[in-house]
This record gives sequence, C-alpha cells and structure tokens, in this order.
Amino acid sequence: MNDYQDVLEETYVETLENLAFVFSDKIDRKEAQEMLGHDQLYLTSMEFTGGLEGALKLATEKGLGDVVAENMLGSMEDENGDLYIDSLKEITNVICGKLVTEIAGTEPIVDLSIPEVVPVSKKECQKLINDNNSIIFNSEEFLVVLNFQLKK
Amino acid sequence: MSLNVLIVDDSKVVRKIISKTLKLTGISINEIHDASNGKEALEVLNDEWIDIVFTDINMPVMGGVEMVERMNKDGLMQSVPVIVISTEGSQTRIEQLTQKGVKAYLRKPVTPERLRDVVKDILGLENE
Repeated sequence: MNDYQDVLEETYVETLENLAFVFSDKIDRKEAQEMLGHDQLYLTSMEFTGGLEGALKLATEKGLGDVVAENMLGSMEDENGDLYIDSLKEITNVICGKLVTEIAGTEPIVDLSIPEVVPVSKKECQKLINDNNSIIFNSEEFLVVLNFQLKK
Repeated sequence: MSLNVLIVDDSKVVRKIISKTLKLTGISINEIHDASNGKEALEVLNDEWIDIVFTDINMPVMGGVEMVERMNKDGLMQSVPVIVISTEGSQTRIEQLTQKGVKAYLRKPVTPERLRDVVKDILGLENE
C-alpha cells in the first residue's frame, strides 16, 4: 500500500460530499466482495504526467453515476441516458486534480489525461479490490474502488 | 447589459452545471452557447457575438490553451475575455495562462458568488 492512502481517502470523501452530496464510508475487502454484482460496473481511468507521474482508477456501479448526475444538476435531465458516464469522468477528474496538487504542491505543472470510462467485469473489479494500492468505499450503497499509483 | 456566454467543456454535465451556476449569479444572461472542445468553440466565436468565454483546459480535439492561443491571433476574438474553470491547481500553469491573456482562473467546484464577482470584475458590470 502506498503512502498516499490517507490523502486519497480524504480527497475522495470530500469531493463526493461537496460536488454531489454523496456520503461515503471506507469498507474492507470482505464487505466489498459482498457488494459486488448488483449493477453494471464501470472503470474510469486517468493518467498524469510532468511534475508527478502515475494513474488513478475508479471502479464503481452505474447507479453512482446516475446519483451524482442527479445531485449535481438538481434534477435528472438525461435526454440520451449517458450523463452517468460524464459524471464518473468528472468526479475522477476532480479527485485527480486535487490529489496531484495535494501531493506535488502548486509549483510543478502536472498534465492530466482525459478520463476514459469502460465497462468492466466483476472479475476485473475483484482484481482491483485485491490490489494493495486500492481503497474501497460504500458510497450511498454503491461500491467504489479507488486505485492510485505513482511512477515517481 | 445582457450577456452572450460561451461554455467550453467536454463534459455535458459540467456544461450544464456552469450554465446553472451562471443563472444563479443574478447576472443578466441573454444566450448561453456551448461547445465540447476548443475547435467547436472557435466556430461558435466565428458565428456568434460572445461577451465572455468559460473554458476547461483539458479537452479532446483542441484544449483550452490552444483555443486561447488561436483567439489571440484573431483580431475580433482576442478581445473576448476568457475565464478558465478547471481542476488543476498548479500556480505555474495559472501564471502561464494569465500571460496568454486569460482573465481569471477558477478551480472547480465554482460557487455562484465567486462566479458573479469574477464576471462583474472582468466586465466592469458593477459600475453600470
């Protein structure tokens, strides 16, 4: 487990609360296994380069994306049924931006990649749950696995 | 003065949030245009009268920095004030953007109060 788990946990919890009024509790791997398989899972990934290099991954259920979209906008205005994808990208983007500033400070320039969202299987999510660089949350009854890795 | 605004962000959710936040500022808005990247934004700026632009930095096709650089090369577009709204927190980046002519940098999430103060300051609306 890397040295930034506390910063990651604090950043995630604060971001979800402030951005989308979603409250989260950290859970262990056993609890995470029990929550798996209720909804389609999606993996959002971002990389950062420059003054700090690494990657952030966020695996969660579609339902969290729907809740975040609804709470951020104040109503569900989802004409094409795809706002959950944008919501997952945005929360990952904000978490990543805050996290790299917390770790690297405000001096260096860190370039963030554009977040990508792909559906993932239960098995792939289990692998992420078991990774030592992951921390896991129950966010309003949705499973969230955050994985943060630094290259330098 | 009723403003024509352009919001540039690849996220539909973010465009909607900025639009809603703008409406909560109490500033008189005429039309809100949006674009999902810098290239689309330049097309809107070519076709429409825009009073102020809100843009993200990190977007596919054309990012916010390149868009500002291209605006600077256009006689009409270079006078349109640009406010960057982004997640990035690098002071060095903010200084670079300011040197390129960006009027303000706001870090997400942005409150209506902060947005109102910045827009009024940049457009001198307080004195009207």
